[in-house]
Amino acid sequence: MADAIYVIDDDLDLAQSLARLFGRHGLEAHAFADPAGLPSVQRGGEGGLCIVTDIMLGDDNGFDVAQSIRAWAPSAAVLFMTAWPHTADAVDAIRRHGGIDYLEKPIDEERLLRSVSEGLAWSRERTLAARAIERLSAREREVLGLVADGKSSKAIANVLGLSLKTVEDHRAAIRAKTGAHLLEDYVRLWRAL
Amino acid sequence: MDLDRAQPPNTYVLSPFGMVLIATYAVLFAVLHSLARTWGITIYSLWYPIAGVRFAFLWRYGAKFAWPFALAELLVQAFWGRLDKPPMEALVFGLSVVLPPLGYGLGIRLVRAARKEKPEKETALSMAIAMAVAPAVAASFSLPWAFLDQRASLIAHVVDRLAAILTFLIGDVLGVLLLAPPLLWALALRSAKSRHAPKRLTTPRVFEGAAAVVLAFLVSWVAYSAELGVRLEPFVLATVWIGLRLGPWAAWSVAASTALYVLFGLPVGTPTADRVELHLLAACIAVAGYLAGGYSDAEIRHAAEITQRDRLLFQAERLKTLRAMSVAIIHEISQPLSTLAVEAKHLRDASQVGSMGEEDLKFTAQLIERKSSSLADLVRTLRRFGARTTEPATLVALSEVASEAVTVVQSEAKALKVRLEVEGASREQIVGNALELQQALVNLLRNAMSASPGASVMVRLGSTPARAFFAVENTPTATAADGMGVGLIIARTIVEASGGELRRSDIGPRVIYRADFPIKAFEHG
Repeated sequence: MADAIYVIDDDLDLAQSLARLFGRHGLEAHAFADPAGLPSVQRGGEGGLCIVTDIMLGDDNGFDVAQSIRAWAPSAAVLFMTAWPHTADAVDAIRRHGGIDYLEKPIDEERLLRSVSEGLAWSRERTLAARAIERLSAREREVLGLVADGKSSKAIANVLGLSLKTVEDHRAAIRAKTGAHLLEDYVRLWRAL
Repeated sequence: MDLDRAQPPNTYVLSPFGMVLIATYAVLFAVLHSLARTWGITIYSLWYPIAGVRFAFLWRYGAKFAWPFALAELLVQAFWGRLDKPPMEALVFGLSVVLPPLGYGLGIRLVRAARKEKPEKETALSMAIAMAVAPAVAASFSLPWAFLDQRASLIAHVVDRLAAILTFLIGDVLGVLLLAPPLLWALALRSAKSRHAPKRLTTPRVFEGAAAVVLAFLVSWVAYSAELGVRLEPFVLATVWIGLRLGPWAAWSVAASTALYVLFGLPVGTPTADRVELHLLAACIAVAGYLAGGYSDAEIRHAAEITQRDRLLFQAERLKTLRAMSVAIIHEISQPLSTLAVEAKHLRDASQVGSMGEEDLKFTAQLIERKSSSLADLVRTLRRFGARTTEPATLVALSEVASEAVTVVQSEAKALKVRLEVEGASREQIVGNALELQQALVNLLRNAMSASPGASVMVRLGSTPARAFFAVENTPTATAADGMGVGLIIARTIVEASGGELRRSDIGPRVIYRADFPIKAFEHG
């Protein structure tokens, strides 16, 4: 696995300090003072990507940066840091911007490391799920969605106007391509879509 | 000179110094009382110099010396054999001797009680009032015994008796006003407590005073040439004018010159009535001049006190500003602290393991140094800003004021997501207190920031040949918050205290507060 962490803070010293901290914990980390310097392509491989970003980045806003990263790395986990904690920002960070955590400065190191490893795990899982979904056909994705919705094969057949046999075939194909067996596997996959 | 305000030392009557003082007074009384006869007209003299000594001693060492002085006078009179009379006459004469000093003591006590000033804060105005009141009280004491005095039979009518008391009053007032101020000045010199008088003896003002005297002299001379006699009225105006403009000491010197002329320089053969009139005028000139001077002194002192209060107000406002900014500052501190915490923990962990790469160590050390110095800078800026201002006005460059002020509000700007921009430069120096000017700019910036959160606030600096300015520009989006008005008033007060002016102008939606200061005003201040 080749996980990576991008630390973005307009105080480059802090970004580097955190990157070095992750490095000491065996994680590959890069520091950026300016989001413009970030790579803009999805990394290859199965590794997770975790972005640790300050919310106030000079002229930029950490939330906008998170959105733009999502555009090219949908499976990246984002962690927000701030020296200006506001409840409204905290709620936005998690609900609207899909942040893993919202950390106040001075940073609680334990919590940072825990959140980052959670974020990486989440990102890896999403990467895998995304890869698996890429292999599915359009019809199979439709079926996957309905299964994740909790519908039985018979119900799915009714909704899609297919025979029960065809639906069962699609589910077998999904199982084969993604390794999903239980309902929760389907739900997780669907969420990753 | 401001020595009339010198604090009366805590002198006891029954102390060696008290005894020496009383003895000195007795000797001076003997000399000056005899001298006063030169100016005697009825039973009184038109100049009674011992009254000045009496007032000066009582004013400086306390009205408690009134009784001892009265006894000393009585002893001297007894020594001269003036009490060798039938008992009733001796008693009346004794009273006539004792009552005036007691009247002075009472007069001084009354003025001090009415003015309610602490001895060390006594103003020239109080003294000027006492110098008029003490002789008046003493004269009023003379009223009853003037009628009892056997020699009163020499004066045929009641009006004449009252005229005699008027003579007493003129003689005493002239004596007090001519002698007491320089005497008090000399006594205060002895205590070597230097005091800074208000600085107003500027060259133009001295010329102005001289012009007033010359003008008064010319008018008097014209009057004299027109055979209107010796006219001192123009000197009343000149002395009051000088008192108001130059203070009690300048007024005193003019009044003293006039009085000396009246006492020594009147043409021989001037009728008594004219002499009395001129002496009365001289006394009026002295009283009016000294009152005007005292008033002017008090006014200047009050102005200085207001300036002092303003300083305290500015100080309080700065502390208030710091308090309001504390939330922002806490977060500003938390940024470098994050780095420091991470690196410190790293060092601790590394020291436990016992190994740390040289590069790693170097990097950590540099980081720690950089962060601690940035924290130290922040603390220093805040400490400077919260410091007490005691320093007087100096030459200040507005560029420095602006950069410090921007540093101070930077934390808050971040919290409000306001972008602070500084445009232009002003290397010209103006006269002011750097810290207070900073406060003025901080107030304007904070107002602008809270009126336009998330936008930009601009500090513009510049100068014209005669003036340097700073301006705060923004486009308000939010309504005025609490405290903005007070901040503005304080900013304006500070700017005006530095000889500048603060103006608001609106250009479309843009609001500009601009403070203009005169350049090179130092030599005039």
